[in-house]
Amino acid sequence: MFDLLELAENKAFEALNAEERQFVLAFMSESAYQNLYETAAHLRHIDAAPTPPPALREAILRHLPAPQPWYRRSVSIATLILACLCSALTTYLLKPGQASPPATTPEPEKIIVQKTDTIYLEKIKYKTQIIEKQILVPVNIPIAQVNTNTPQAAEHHPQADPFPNVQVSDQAGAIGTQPGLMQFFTPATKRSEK
Amino acid sequence: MPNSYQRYTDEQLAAALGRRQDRAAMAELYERYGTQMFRYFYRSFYRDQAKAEDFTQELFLKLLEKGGRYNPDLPFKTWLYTLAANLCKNEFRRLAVREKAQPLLLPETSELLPETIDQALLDATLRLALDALDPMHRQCVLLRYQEALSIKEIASILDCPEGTVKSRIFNALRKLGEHIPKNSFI
Repeated sequence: MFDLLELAENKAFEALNAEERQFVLAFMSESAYQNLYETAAHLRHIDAAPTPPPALREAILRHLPAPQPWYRRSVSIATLILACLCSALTTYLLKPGQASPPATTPEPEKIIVQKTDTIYLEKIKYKTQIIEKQILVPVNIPIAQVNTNTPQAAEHHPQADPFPNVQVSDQAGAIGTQPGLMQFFTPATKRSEK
Repeated sequence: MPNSYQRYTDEQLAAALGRRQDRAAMAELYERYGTQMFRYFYRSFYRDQAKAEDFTQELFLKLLEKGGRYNPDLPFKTWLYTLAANLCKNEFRRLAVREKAQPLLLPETSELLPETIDQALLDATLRLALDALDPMHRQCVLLRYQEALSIKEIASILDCPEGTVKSRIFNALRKLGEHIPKNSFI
């Protein structure tokens, strides 16, 4: 396929081959095409533009910084030298022969688990409804003091420790030694009265 | 004296200009494009020489300012013409230059005169007809026939499809052709 503009810019009607002529004549007459061709050719030759004055160049270059002497121009080289000096000084001060401090092994993370246990279970019969009340109190029993022979202790502290890294905090003793916990118990005399 | 910057491409010079405001790079770019851009502005602004000087200076200062943002993948010439065309467009918008267009003045110096009076009259007629075109058509014609740029380059400069550029040029040629007497081509 031909480009009409491209043809009109480059070829006079006489210079077109039969196929191109047929293409052109499908759009316009021969004289219209020739007119386009001549206009395009004229437009290329009406150039009478003057040259810019030499002062224009100077005016433009005046906006740029004047050339600097080499020691000011090569800022990057000066920066490089300075960086080298700094690194040499740092290396000297650190003394590469000096033994490095021993590597510290990170301590295993301590996980503190606070265990709770049921120490009091009371069933109150109120009319037809039985309300079950369960009080959970934190219990801190030292592993070393626990008599693992008793079934209760065996229940709370099984033989195989599932958390080898777990440290159980131990501040309190047996329940009987903590008067604060005794409030949860009903004295035997009162119970018998009921 | 040969300039050492002559061996660099336009793109390298533009990059040097953007990076470190290299005076020699600017001088070399001006050597390559100064006259060309001055003439482009001269034609675009209806042969106003003072305005052409101002805009050439502004263009090269813009080059200095925007040099750092130049993308070397784009041809430098196209980028430069894009900056110039945008300056023209802004100026046309601001001042509506078209209404203030000066009537055609034939060149005063004998060296610029065409060989025959007939040719001079024909050129004058064509310039007037060109001035009468609307700015977008006129820009396309100037870039194509005075600056000898390709359709693709013009499309890139004016930021429009190639088909639009072709259609504008074709219509402009038809309009201009009405002012050319038959068999006037020399």
